[in-house]
Amino acid sequence: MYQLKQFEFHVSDISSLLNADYKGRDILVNHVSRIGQETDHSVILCNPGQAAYLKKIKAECLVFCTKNTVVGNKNLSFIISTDPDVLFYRFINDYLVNETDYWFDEIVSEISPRFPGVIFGYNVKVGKNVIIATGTKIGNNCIIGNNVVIRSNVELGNGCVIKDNSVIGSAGFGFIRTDDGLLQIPQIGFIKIGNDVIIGSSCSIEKPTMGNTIINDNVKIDDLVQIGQNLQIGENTIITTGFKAETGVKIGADTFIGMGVTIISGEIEIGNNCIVGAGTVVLKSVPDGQIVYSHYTNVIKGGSDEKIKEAFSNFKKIR
Amino acid sequence: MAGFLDSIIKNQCCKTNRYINELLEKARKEFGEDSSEYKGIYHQYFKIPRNTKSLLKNRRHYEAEVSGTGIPHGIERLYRRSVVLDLLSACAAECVYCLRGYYDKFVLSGDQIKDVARYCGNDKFLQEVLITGGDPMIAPSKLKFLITELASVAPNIKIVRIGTRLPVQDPIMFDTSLFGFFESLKKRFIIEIGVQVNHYFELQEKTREIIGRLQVAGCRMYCQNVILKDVNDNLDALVKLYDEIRYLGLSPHYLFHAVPMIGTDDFRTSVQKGLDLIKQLETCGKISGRAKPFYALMTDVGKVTLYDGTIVGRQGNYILIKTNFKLSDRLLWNPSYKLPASAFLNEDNTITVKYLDGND
Repeated sequence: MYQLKQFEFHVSDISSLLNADYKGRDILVNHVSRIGQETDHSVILCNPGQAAYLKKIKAECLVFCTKNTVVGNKNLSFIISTDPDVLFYRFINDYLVNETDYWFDEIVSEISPRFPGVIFGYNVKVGKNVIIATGTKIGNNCIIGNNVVIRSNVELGNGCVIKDNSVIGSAGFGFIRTDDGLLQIPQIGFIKIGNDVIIGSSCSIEKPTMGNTIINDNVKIDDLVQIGQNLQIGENTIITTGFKAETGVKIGADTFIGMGVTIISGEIEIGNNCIVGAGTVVLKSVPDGQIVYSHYTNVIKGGSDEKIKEAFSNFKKIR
Repeated sequence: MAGFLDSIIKNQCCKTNRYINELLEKARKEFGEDSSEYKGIYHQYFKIPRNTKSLLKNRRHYEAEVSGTGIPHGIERLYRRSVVLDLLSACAAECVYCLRGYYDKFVLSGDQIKDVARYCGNDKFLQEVLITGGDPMIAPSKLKFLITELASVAPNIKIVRIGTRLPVQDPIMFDTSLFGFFESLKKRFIIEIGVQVNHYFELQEKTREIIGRLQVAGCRMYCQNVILKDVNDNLDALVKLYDEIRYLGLSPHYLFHAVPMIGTDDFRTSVQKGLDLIKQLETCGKISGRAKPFYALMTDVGKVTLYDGTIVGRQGNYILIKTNFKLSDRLLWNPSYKLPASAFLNEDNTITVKYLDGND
């Protein structure tokens, strides 16, 4: 979806673009490398634990690192930050990559004859074989992947990405047993998706019977996830692959849901700043700040800010 | 950008890139070091300015930043209908004479961009924005965000102008996703892209390709030029430049006299030489009337095109320039505007400004 552009920057310009200090010579850089694979003019990211290696580097490189990681090596220049990995990936996202253009059919602003009645924002990239229902609202700078289906009663904020083969607004799976068999409950609710949400490939976001399924700003959803009816997901929450949940579940903000988590009752609420470990079947609500795993009967520890930050540090993604 | 003359003089080293270095080498190989082509590149990017005592004091081309409670950073405003939005300070290469060389380093954040767009949408008189920097094309994601925000929250804005040198300074870095982006917005905005070109040799194949693709995307392309000593301050160089500009379908805009800013002494001809050149250019019969620019001065109070009666006198090294700008007007749309020390009001409330002449 994204590709690295050809680029050439002076270190002083990178410092300016990122509002960050730099140390060393104002060298030119023109490619990104992993530490250990650097060559002349590389940009690399160095964690504090790799500081000893920096002394050995013979190539002329720019290193993103913390102040304490800076070493005496004339070949190196440094962009210094308390959070170098964030700055490094921000630099890549904002200045070094663009979207590949081979996959999408058109860039839409406001209206498209292909999608009558759809209210587009500006600069919406739409892939091939996409179906979007009349009346759908899609914000600015969204990317709609190939084979995506967006059914009625859906609103999408700005800057959202829906990856290939996902269905937004699929009718929820609801039936009532009657004397005549199973009666389907019509799903006529709404799906509201905030700004900067990413929905992975082959996901299903279900439309509720009534009311709303709500995915708030900056939520990131992995591939192969099912978001059930009336689910509410708080800001900045990450949901990884294989997640499934019963109707009506609420998940707080800044929470991390591991692979294959299942929530089996609509009465359950996952709080803010929680981590739910991979494979957990959640049987009861999780208070704010808790880290839980397996069949949730035990709290392994109170989720201090430090622990949560550490756990989250492994899940940064390029957008 | 950002000529950062202090550091260039201190380090005796210019900030160029691979593309500019290759362009200079190409000029040397094909035309030799005495050629106009070689000098046209060398004097813009490689010539170390002399650190001499100078009458030049300005660190900005003019002071018009809009400030006040709730006013976001990055807005300059001299005119009623248009506003300058500075997105960032960085460029792909540094022209040593750059008029923004002494600006603070900055880049607008997402929230600041939203604030800037809201400011534009809240002023019904505004119809046009000029997005500049730095070079906004080196930050395409921020540029797209700013333009889509304007499209959403500033329905009064009809024209988006973008000032760039990236197609000339480093066309390889130009983000090709911008073509589709501009095309998708051509019903919402008139998009005008201004490219500064000072010598025809800067218009190489890759640059031409980008200009062509921007035109196909529906952008209206225009060109600004500066008379620079030893680059283009002769009739032949200007004729070639304006011919090429016309062949590429670029509209000629201003031909500026070099801005009086710290460090630009070596590049500045006299204003009279510029007048002589524009007169020759427009009457020599060598270029079409469709290719003729306006000769203009970037004064402390804004751009002034030279017409009969614009130059009203001389005070030592300074030329007196009579404008039709009115201070009372300026204060209407930019209450923080202050008349610079080099300017005074005439009886009819218009502004006359002193403009430092150059030397031939």
